[in-house]
Amino acid sequence: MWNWFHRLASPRDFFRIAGYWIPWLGSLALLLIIAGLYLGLFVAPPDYQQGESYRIIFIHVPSAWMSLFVYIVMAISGAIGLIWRIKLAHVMSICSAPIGASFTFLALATGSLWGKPMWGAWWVWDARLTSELLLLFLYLGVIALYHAFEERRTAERAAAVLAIVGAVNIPIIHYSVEWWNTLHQGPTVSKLDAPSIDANMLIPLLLMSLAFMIFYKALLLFRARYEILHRQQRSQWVTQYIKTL
Amino acid sequence: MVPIETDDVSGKPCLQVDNLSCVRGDRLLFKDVNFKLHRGELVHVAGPNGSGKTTLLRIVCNLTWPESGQALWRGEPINRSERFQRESAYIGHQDGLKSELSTLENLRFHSRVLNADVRRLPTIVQQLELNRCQYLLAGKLSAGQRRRAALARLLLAERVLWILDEPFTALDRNGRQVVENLLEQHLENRGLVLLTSHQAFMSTHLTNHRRELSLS
Amino acid sequence: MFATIFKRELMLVYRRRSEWVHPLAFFVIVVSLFPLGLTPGPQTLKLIAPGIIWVSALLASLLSLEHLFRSDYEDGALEQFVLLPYPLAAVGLAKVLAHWCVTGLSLCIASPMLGIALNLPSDSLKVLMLSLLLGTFSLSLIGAIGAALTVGLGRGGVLIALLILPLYVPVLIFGAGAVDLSAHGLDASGQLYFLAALLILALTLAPFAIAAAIKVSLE
Repeated sequence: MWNWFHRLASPRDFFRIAGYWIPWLGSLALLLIIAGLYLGLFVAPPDYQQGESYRIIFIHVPSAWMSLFVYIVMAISGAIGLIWRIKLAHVMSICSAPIGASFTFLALATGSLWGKPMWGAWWVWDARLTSELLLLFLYLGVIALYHAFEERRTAERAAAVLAIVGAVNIPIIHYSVEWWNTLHQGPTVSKLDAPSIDANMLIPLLLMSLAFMIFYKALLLFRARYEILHRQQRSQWVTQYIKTL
Repeated sequence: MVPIETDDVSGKPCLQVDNLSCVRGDRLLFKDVNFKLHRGELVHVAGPNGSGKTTLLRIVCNLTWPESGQALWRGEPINRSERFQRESAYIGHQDGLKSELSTLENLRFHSRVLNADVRRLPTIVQQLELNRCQYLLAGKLSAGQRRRAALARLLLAERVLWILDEPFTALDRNGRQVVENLLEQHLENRGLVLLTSHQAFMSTHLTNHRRELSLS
Repeated sequence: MFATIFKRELMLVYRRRSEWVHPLAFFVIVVSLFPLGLTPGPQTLKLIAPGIIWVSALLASLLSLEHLFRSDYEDGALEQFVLLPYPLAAVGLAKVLAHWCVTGLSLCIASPMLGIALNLPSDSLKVLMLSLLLGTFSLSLIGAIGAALTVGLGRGGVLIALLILPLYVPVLIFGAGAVDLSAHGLDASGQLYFLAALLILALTLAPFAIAAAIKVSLE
């Protein structure tokens, strides 16, 4: 087991193993997305209050969950990279950032689309949406900081410090925004805290979440592979690999 | 000045550098740098601009990390050795002087944070020929005066290992003489010196006792 | 050691007057722009005053932070701090404390005047000052992390704002919230306690993040 970890930490072996996994993970994610969308869009019953428009939750909710999950992955792998100086951990952290930002953006965009029929406005300063917006800013900060440095090692370590600081702040930001929201608007109709959710709605929701999770992993491995190729461009195995293409 | 400690009699090196290599960006600066430094020795790191002299010094004083290899101080890796922090002094390119404080205020601050005896300050100021500018703001000093004021920190700190990055820049002939005298004295007191410099030493004693480490 | 560094910092800030006078002037000017841009109607002003004062204080604090580690980085003093056999987190805390004693307190002292100008009831001026007193210190501590991360970049300006402003949100919410409550004649002690809690959290965690950020920047 330990041996296996050690091999995975070598860029060359990681490149090979990741290359093997990507097609499998990618196809699995695609299958799950098709199944989840079919069940969500055609099988699940319409909501008694919101009619058909609620169906956007099958995208909105999984991407909101992923936005937070990816941030935590980014911060933890950044911390691993900082403490044990494992380069691959930094690669994972840096490659996660744009993916997480995209999930956050997707959650914001779908939330805003959903807001139009629900609240009659494209944007409402709802607690969840506001938290999500701030999360997007945190992601953008990490990405901007990483690209501001010329020296890659400084860049990834600085980005890792910021990601950890952000991760500590996320719960504080979340609760303060929630408190601010109740102060200024009174409790809004909560979207997900319905007393009980129909199994026909729950299953596609869980399927989509699983699909997004696997999709993230495939995408992360994909990005990490090319980052490694880029970083190791001067080493011999990369030259050999390029020749075989 | 620097007390000889019993564990040095064994002849083991105080500072030992093993297989250091360093990468900046995608460029390999240097690799497999090895050297040992015993008490009373001076190592002169030489090499063209951009060969990584400053980086090597910064690695040895634990400001930055090597790609591989390690530096040991009395057998302990320097990044985990508290003793190294207490026994080494580094003067880099920049002087570490605040322009808004006078020379004396700067030195007084350094003597406090280094836990040095403030009463020794007048002697040190005298020794480095800073008496004429001691009440001047550091921002108004000439480059050579700033350099000497920075080097005064070495005398305040009383450390065994001196790590000096281009200590002679901006110094005139007289200033160089002053600094070379300090180095000679330090070696006589069985101190260690690791330095980079573009110029050769004026003193024959230092020229004869230096070892060169060349980074190509 | 802590006291020595703290005293040196105070002396330096005192001799570099622009460092705290500029943010203070910025604070006053920005606040006085709002009535010009919105409306001088006393009821509206009273409604928006807490937000305006707090957002302006936050920006002024951000502006002043850019210099916090810059000169120490450029003249090599920061390297010397790292090499001292003394925890870098404590050095960072001493610097932030000294910095706040000048910039944060000056914002605090100027705030009642601006509160009056924006038609805040006199009872809530006390809450305004207290909230700024607690809040600006947290802002300095959090902002110092961003200042330390960007110190090696030469052009920190906008980037530090991008990094730090999202982290300022909780302080802004509770700070402006406290003033808002008191302006409506309600009890604001709950919000002030929250600000104090945030400050304690920042005091315990931020110095370590600052130390890590300084080390990364020097590497």
